[in-house]
Amino acid sequence: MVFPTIDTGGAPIPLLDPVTDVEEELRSQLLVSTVDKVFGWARRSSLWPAMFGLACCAIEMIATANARYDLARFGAEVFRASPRQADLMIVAGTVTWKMAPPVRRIYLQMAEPKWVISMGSCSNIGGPFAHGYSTLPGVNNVVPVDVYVPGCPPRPESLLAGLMLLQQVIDDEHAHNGRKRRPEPTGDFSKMLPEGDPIRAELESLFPPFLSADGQPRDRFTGALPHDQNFYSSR
Amino acid sequence: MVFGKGMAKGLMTVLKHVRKPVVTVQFPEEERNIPPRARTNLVWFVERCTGCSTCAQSCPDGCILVDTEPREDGSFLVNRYEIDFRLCMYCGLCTEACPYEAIQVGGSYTNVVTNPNHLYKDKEDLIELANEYLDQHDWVYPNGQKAVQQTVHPSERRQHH
Repeated sequence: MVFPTIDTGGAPIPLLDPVTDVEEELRSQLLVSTVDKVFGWARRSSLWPAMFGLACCAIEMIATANARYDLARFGAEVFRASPRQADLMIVAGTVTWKMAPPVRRIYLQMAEPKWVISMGSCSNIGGPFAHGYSTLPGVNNVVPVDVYVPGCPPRPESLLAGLMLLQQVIDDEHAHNGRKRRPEPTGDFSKMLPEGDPIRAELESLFPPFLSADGQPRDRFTGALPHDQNFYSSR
Repeated sequence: MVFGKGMAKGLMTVLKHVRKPVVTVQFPEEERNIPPRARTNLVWFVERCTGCSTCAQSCPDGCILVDTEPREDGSFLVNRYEIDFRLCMYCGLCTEACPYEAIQVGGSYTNVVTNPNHLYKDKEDLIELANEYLDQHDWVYPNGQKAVQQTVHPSERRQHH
């Protein structure tokens, strides 16, 4: 199965590059890079994670948020129950195939800018279940991951180190030409799930070109099916 | 019913906690004491290893790879010794199995990466990590034994350009 690289949906989304896309006379008068640095500072200093734990790593994540390790020192204290208000997804725990579509859907529902930390061996590469039938071999098959935190589960210090590395990554990407478009993960399920598998069909409908099993286009940000016009009239 | 009783109670709680020490550990600057057998990263010491691969057999994940060849005197030369820290679940069964305590727990636990393949450590990486550990801990192994300085043969060390 081959995915198209970028789903433009008809209209391309322009990305303004302050170095090449601007006239030469204007370049010295622009403040884009400086403003972008301030954006980067604001974004890395207020990473709000989604309230989202899958397995035992979530316990360590909660311990990190508690008083002894105090995630609030890094501006990441507010675990948001709604993905709409979250910037950071900490995938804490084993991602089973059954859970993979919800993980992908929560990621799609988060508003840009968004980042992903993969916490623990299970979400890094599958951990002890890497050769099992029921577990995703690495959450990077479903969502693009920025920082990998090893451990089973990682100590709270490890997660804090991961958060600090992510802050560095955000700083770096804002220092050089601004934010890049987030890459799509290499969601090639053809080797792991058989043809006609319902979970494979659901996962494929959450990747570009965002078509459901019967060919209907899904919303590319939420994965929702379009509203059926005949639904109310037929009742 | 006395007005403000609850508020007084709350203020008393706050006042009690003012006198208590702060529980928050300022992590990057200050680190908690890790117990000697806590489940931290594995450290492998080439000078203690005989290449018996008991660690690899005891690993439930199969994340340790040992490749040896016999020497003239019957001992083993360890050609490859690799640990896949992406898979490793830090259970420490290899450290319990190793008869010579060549692999021990007690390494760093802040080895976060942006590329997961950097978590795969081959022999040179592990020797470098072990040397780093010994340099930082005054040449004492995690089990408390004293290491002889410069036990690693120069040919085993990574060649820096």
